Amino acid sequence: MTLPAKQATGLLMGLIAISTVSLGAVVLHPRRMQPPARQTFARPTQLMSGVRKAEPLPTEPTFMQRGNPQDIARGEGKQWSVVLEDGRELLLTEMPLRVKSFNNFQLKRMKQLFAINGDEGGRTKSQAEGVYLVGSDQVLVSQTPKGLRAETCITANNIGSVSQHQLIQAVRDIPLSRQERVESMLGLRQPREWQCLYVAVTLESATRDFTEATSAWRFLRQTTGP
Amino acid sequence: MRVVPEAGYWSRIKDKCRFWRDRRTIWIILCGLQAVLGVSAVSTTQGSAATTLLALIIWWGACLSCEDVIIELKGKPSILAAISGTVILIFCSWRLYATYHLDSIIYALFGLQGLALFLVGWPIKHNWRKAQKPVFILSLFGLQLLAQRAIPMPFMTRATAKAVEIFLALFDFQILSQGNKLVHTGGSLIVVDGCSGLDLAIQLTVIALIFTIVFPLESRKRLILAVVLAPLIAFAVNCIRVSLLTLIHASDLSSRHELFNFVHEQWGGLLFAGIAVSVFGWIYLHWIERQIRTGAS
Repeated sequence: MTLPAKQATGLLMGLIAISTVSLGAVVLHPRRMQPPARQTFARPTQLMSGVRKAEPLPTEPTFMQRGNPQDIARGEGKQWSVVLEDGRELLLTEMPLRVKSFNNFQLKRMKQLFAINGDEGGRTKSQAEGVYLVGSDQVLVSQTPKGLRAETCITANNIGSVSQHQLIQAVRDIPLSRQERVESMLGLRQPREWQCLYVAVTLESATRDFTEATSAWRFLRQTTGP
Repeated sequence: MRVVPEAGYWSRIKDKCRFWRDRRTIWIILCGLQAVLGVSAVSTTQGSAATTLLALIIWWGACLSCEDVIIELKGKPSILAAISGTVILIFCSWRLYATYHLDSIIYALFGLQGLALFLVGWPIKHNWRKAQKPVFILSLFGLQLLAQRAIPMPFMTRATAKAVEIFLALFDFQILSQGNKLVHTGGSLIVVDGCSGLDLAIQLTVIALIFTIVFPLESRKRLILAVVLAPLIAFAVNCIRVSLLTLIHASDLSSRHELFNFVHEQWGGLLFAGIAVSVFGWIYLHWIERQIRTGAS
């Protein structure tokens, strides 16, 4: 039994209207089209994508906490000094993550992944138990009693020199918590991939650069895979 | 004295209105809107020109494949097909809006869109075969995700580096590959995911599959060869591109940074994609011509 002619025309017209509204929403959605708030963060280096100039791998860094204690108590302004063996020093400054430019859907996922307590203003509590330096991108992965947390964004001078092997080392050190949730949400299988995913999503939350986060994840998958 | 309009004037306007009220026209507009919606969603969420290009290619292929079928379109679906098609299309429209890059579902939505568009256009019972080609082509978008998950990137990047070393050795250039690193006297380059040529290989494979569906070859051997040849051509062209990048990097040209950036960034990449597609197209057309000639004789 086929649809009568008039109703068939009406149905197609209705679907055109729905498609037009969807198209308008996709194209004009301000949050979607808004460029990432890069001015807040330093530009990530191009470590993860394309052909890049190779750099010598520095040795394992040492961490040393600095910064104004009052600022640190408020959960912001922590500085980390990373002294490389060749004598160079990286100065990392912690900044609050701004969650404003995420849409609700993304924010929900982020909260599920990292248990972010940020409000609309983007302030997050600093409850880091352990701090990991993750590669040359401006990321600090924190371990909290609840699991991993993307609470900070790091700006650094001379950041481009931090090497891939630090990144790999940091990834290996990250504990495998909240695996089941990640697996059910994203359908991943291998433990190493979960580890990498944490970092990739952390990168995403810090840099807002989805492409680099994705390629970082792929890169990590290849370098830390079994 | 009254001015009488030219005979046929109103009927021509009526004809035009009829054209716009024609269900086939409305259906085509709907397809166009869904295609633009799909490609826009990919372009705004995936952050990759290669993926957007692939989406465009896939919709173009689907359009080609249903060219003959559209003439038969009456735009009178069965009630069941209309309901299910509408539900799927509304779901797709909403989900394309709510997609962000970690959602793999966007790779499945194109196929669903195709199925839904078919359902609202035809009574499903006797027309299922007509939908197979376009729906299959639209489902090919998932190939990108499958390839990314299945093909080991270290293998791709190392193979590219090794192939570049061999290719440049043919011309007496001393470039050494160490894993995914290409070392020359003045420095080194690392071939990482973006330059492994996987995107190009997927694009060309999809184009090959579209060609084999839309312009089928009679020889089954050639059909298989076309699908196998496509990623190989892509790999070869990408190796030439990376070789060029290595040579530019190793050179002492004053404009080497600009040249490097041009070949490395998207315009240069697209140029090489164009070359790969042209080479494949030329081979395929050659086979088609041969087939026509054999048929005529």
